[in-house]
Amino acid sequence: MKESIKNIPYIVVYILGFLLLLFAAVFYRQPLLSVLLILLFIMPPLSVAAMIYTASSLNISIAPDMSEYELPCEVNLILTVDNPGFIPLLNCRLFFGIENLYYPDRTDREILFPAEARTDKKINIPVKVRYSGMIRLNVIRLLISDPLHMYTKDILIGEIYDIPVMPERVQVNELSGAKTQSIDEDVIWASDGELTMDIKQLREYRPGDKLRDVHWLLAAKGDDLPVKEYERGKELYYLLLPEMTEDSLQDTLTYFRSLALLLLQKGEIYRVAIYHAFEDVIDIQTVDSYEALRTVMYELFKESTAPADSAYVRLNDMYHELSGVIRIQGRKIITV
Amino acid sequence: MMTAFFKSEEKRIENELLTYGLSVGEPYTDGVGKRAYLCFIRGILVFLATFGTIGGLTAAFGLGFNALTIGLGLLVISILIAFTYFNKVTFYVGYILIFMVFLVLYVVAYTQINSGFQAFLNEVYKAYSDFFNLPSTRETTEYITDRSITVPATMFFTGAGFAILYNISISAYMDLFSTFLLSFLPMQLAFYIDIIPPIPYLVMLIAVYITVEVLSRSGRFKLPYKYKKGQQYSYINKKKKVRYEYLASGRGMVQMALSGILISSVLMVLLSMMFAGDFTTKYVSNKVKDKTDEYVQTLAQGGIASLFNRYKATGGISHGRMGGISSVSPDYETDLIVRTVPVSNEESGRVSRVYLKAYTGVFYEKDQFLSAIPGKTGESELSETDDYIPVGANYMDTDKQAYMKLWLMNVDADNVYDYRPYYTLYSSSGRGARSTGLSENIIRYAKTELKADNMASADADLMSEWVDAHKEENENCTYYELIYTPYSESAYYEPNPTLSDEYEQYVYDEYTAVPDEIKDALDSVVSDAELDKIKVSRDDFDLTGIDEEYGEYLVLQQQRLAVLKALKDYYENNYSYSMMPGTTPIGRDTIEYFLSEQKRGFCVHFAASSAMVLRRIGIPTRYIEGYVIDPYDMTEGEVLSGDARDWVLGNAAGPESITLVDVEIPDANAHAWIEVYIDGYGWIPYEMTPPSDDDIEYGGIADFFAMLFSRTSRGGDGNNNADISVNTDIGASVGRFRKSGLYKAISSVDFLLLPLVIVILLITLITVTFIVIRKLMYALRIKKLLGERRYDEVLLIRYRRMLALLRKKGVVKKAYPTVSEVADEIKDNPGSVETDALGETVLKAAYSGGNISEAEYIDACEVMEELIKTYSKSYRSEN
Repeated sequence: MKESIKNIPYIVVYILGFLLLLFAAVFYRQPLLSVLLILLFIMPPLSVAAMIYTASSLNISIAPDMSEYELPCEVNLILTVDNPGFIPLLNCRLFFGIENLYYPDRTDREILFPAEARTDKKINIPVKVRYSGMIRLNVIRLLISDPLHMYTKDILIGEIYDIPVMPERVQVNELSGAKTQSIDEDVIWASDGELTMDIKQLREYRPGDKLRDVHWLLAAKGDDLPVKEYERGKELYYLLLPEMTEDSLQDTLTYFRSLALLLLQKGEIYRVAIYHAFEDVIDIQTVDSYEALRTVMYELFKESTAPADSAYVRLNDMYHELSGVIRIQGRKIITV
Repeated sequence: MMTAFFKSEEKRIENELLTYGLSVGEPYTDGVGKRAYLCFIRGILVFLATFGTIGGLTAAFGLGFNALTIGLGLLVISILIAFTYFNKVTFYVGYILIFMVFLVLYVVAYTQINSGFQAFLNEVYKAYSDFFNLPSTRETTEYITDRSITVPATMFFTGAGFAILYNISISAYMDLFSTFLLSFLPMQLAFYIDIIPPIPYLVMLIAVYITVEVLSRSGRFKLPYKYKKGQQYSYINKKKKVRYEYLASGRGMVQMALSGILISSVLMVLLSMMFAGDFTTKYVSNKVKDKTDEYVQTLAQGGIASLFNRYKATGGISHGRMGGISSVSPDYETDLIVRTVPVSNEESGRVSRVYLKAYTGVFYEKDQFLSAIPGKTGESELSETDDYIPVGANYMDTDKQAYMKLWLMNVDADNVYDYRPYYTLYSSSGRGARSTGLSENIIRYAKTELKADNMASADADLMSEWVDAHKEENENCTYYELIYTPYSESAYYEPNPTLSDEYEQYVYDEYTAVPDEIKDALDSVVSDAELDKIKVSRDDFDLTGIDEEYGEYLVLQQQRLAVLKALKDYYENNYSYSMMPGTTPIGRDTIEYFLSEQKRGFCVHFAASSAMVLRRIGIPTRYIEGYVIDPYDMTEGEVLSGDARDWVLGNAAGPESITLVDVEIPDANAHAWIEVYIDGYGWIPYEMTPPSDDDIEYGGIADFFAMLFSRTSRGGDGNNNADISVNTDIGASVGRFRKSGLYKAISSVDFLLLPLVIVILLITLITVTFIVIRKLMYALRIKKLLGERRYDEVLLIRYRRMLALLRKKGVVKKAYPTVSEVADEIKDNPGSVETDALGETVLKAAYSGGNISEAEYIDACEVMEELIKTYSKSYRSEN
């Protein structure tokens, strides 16, 4: 918390003006006015003291009214101002910034509002949203000035709220049987399908077996180390690759999400390849629920755009012999 | 305009949406549509200002009115006027309507409004007249004399006018300066003459000032017509800086107005308590204020026209000029320095006044006494006796007279005059039993450069030293020695053989002339004072052994003295002395105006007018200007060592108390008096100016300083004070310190000491109370929470306080640190305390939602106390 005296020139002029008036009053033998002016000198300290006292109990916060939005929508920020004290502080200023992480906006925004005494009120700040993405609200600082605007309390806040705005859902065609075939075992991917929890058989320990696969209960009873071999699922999975180029970013997001939702509705469990352009890495995540899809979307929102095809090239580099990848390029959904 | 605004607004939003994907709209709260409410509140503020001004002024000047009726009426008017800002239509239509209503009202109720206004003016004139003790009061005609009708009519009318102006300064701009001027300037009518309007009105005004200033500083008052309906925020976009400014807070305005009323009430109570005593008496005059007073008086008495007929009189010799002087403002710089021996008046036993004659006014022509009659030869060609009485003239009995020596150094006075000293024979205390004497007691007159025969060379050396000592005051000063005879009652009467019949004829021809246009005024004084009925009989005097012819002269002399005394008494009873009489209106003769209307003036007025009055009844009189050395100046002069007896020449019948003094004579000692011709004898001086009423009171800090410098102040000795009120023409009899700017400055602010002390005490008291209450509230809260066994909350409170302390000491630098960040920062510091357990307890208290045990609380508190102790100590040692 930083407290500072602002408006120094103003204060100087204020005091000089006051003294000048006092001088004139004395000079012109106006006892009443002179004494009144002297008494009025009590106003600045009174004003500052009242502010310090009230500011300590002041409660000001800003947050969106919902945790997630879907286009078309309007994000509503709610500024809550609660002044339980008896002195109105009409000079509160909140500095904040708001931007879609895809489209950086460095505008400094400032909202001036009053914190009336004994009042708990909410100020709505509507934000019209055109594009999906992660909207970042950065609450920078709060300035509270005394009624005479002489002393300003500068409270550094530095809080960040991320508000995800999902793209709208559009009609997409169903996919025609393209499921991915071969992938490295380490990432639970295999040409044979996904590992299940069903134990296929117990066999002898072979070097290279994972310790977690050892059946320790049986091992304790006997001398050998039986190892659990799991049943592999026979089903193959969809692999979606949203390619976020600058030109078709919003369309890619829209179609990707629409397709993803469609698949979830059909009860499909699928995978999404997220290309981290900055690190040049592909991360593959399994989506088996709406929650998992939301996580994927959040990750995508924080990603930057990449040149066309770069994601696919990288995916191919990492996983050879890959086929059946569903590439989403804007409104185009291509299976390769 | 509006469409364009919206179009550009839409364009901006569309542009932002395309560029940034989002656009922040206008913020809003629930409860839109309180425009009417805001207009209403501003109407209340306008009403407070209007009623405070109109009611305060009317009540201050003692005009009765029904406060409830007027208040309600003005409230309605103010609110209606404030509603002009509701929207654009009300704004334009409203103002046109108001103007028309105003005009119609004025036409219909002109007589009532005008009469009420005149009633107010008459009360103002009366108050000013009382305050300044003006001899005449201006009166204006009230066509309708029933003030219960006219005063409210005027109050409503002028109130509406003020409400319109206040509506602009408050509703539109919320500007303290213009609001203050609008109320303060009219209020000056009362304040200027120390009238304090009733406190409730002042409370209203101060409350408005406070509210307006606070609202204008915060900006939460705006809702003029230019903002569209429902708009709560204004949008300002400047180079990547966007501001949404809340326009008007109705609740905030009400709260601020109530706070303003509360604060101003407290201030006014304090003010009333302080003003239980009378501050006004403590003032010492200051030139600027005096000057303003002078204008104000002139205006109050003679109207605006009188302001243009004036010139500045700065003291010193005015060469017979008198018209248009509204006041005399001496600069108190030394004009003459005199070294002499104070001489007592044998009759009263007191030190006498010495006159230094300079200018002689002979011929009166409108507003001025000329030193010569236009177109005629000067009188000096007829007789030199008046100016140069030769040494050893036969009418002076040198054996029986004492002669006094006087050195005169002319520092800054007009150097065309010689400033010959003489004493009044007939002082204001009245004539002596058998007053006789000499008109001008100069028996020898010689300037040093003339090398007078009988001036000792030792004297010449001393004089050079004296002059050298004062060289710094004026390099080019002139100086000379004068020898004169002090007044002695024992001197006997003898006709002056140097007066020729021709001269006497000349005197009677020329020194009895008066201009025709003032004759009526003079006649009026002559008859009022019954001057023409005064008769002195020869039987009143013991003329045994006196020659028949001389006896006639004596009777005539006494006759004239009786007239002079009667005229002086008349002045004393009917006229008053003032340094600031106000100017003479254009087109009026100064003497005529003074005698018939003004009846207030200073020496110039009294001397000039008495000269004319005396001439009117056939007594040759002339008007004299010069300097006067008051007894007080003599006793306050610098006392010199050395044998003062050297300064008394002639035989032993000199002054009783022999002291040699240097007296500095400032321009403030300039004076005017008259000389009256006594047949067969010559001119005698006479003092016509009555004593001053202008008492100056002193007290407080300034007199404390004056006492420190008691040698030059009046505070140190009070013996002569009783005499000072006698003809202190310029209030000159104040000590040097009292004349100084420092004394005046201190005296002027003397009365501010008490409020200053009170304000400082109040600020201290508020601060101390604030701290004590905070500490008390903290202690009570902790006690209450501990009583409820809510250790988590107590722990968090104490933790926050500890953090604040650590931040103050510089141990923790981040503004909102987490528990682990605090622990890290503490670890980085030498002599760290183990804080892991504390951190855990704090986290538990903050986030687990459950309570913590008493033991955990105590442990955590111990750690915190240790931390505070450690860092307070290290902080102290570092500093």
